[in-house]
Amino acid sequence: MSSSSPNQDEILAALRDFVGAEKPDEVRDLQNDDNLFDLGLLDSLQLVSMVVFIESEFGCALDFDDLTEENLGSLSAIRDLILRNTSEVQEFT
Amino acid sequence: LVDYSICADVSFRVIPEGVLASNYRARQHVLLNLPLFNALAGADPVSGEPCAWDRTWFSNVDGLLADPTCLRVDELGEPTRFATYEDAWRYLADRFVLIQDTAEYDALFAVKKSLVDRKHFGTFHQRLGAELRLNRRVDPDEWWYAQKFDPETGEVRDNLYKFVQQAFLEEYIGSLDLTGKRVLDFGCGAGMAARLFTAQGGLVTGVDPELAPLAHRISHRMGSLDHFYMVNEAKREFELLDGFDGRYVSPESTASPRRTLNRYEGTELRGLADRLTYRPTERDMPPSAFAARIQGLQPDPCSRA
Repeated sequence: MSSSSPNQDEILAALRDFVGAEKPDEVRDLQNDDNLFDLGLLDSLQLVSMVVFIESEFGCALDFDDLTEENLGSLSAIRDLILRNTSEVQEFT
Repeated sequence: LVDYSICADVSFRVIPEGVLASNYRARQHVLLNLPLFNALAGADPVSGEPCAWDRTWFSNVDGLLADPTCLRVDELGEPTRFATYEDAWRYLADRFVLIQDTAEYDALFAVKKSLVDRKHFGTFHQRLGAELRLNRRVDPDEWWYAQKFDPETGEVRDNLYKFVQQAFLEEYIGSLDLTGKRVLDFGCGAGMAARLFTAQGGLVTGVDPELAPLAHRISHRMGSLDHFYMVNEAKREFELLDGFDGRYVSPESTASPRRTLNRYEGTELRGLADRLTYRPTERDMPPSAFAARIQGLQPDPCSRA
């Protein structure tokens, strides 16, 4: 993502693509608030890949304390986490 | 201390810098200065600003079984200072020196449901995995091998883990008479078990999918032993299983069957790996699980059950 401030829809689309790359069928009906863990869409390895993806794609460094079920449990929660972290970065630039 | 009580798992130790509050069950340590400790204990007030140092760290990342207490022993940094005692109590509650609800606290001691589950402490391996994967951002597999093997010599490092494993192996293998018996050592690594099988008279074939440079060095050195050689290249599985009196599957191979199978993916040993690794069941708890792994070398207690 080249622009410094990705909008909410762009983030959600990118996250959906990421999760869907492995499991396209399950993602088709996925709602933004659905729990990714309960649905089995994020196991430990995918979760780590997701964190790496978020950091490289959106240019934010996630803190260990950010990596909670609440913050990573659904597409909308991850979007909010990204927005929180990218806006913090922008304040200092 | 209106809303809180001191956790029953906490013990206090007076050290020159203050009072160390340790919750050994939750593996958390906080050093309190005297004004804070006296306020906590309800003793005579001591003048000064209450402050504390978090002395917890995940010490095991610096060595297998190096120090499971998670107590930091390096220099004290800047303390956390508290404007109000309410702030201090919250800080201590976050670190399980104080608790509000015993049932809620007890519920923390359960397995994690996911890598990012913060509501449960999880098992030792889960904590280690979360620390390595999420905090330090290293691959646990690479960490494991770096911890276990010395890259220079290919030997298992002299740490506590080695001696625990060695004692365990000696207890089970040291009593076997393997004179003239052919033993398959699946996941032989640096040959800790293989050397014991050899010492008991066994003719050992080691198999290991990874550690390629390491394996070569070790197999070369092991060449000096009469009956040790390593199969590193593909062999058809019947060739490997036929003609062996017993087979030993390393704990590392059985601990995570899926990962083990991934390592053999694309090799002709994949089928063999599939047959030898299995997910341990409840009745497979050690040491019977271990005995089951030296299949054929002694009666299998699982099959007799």
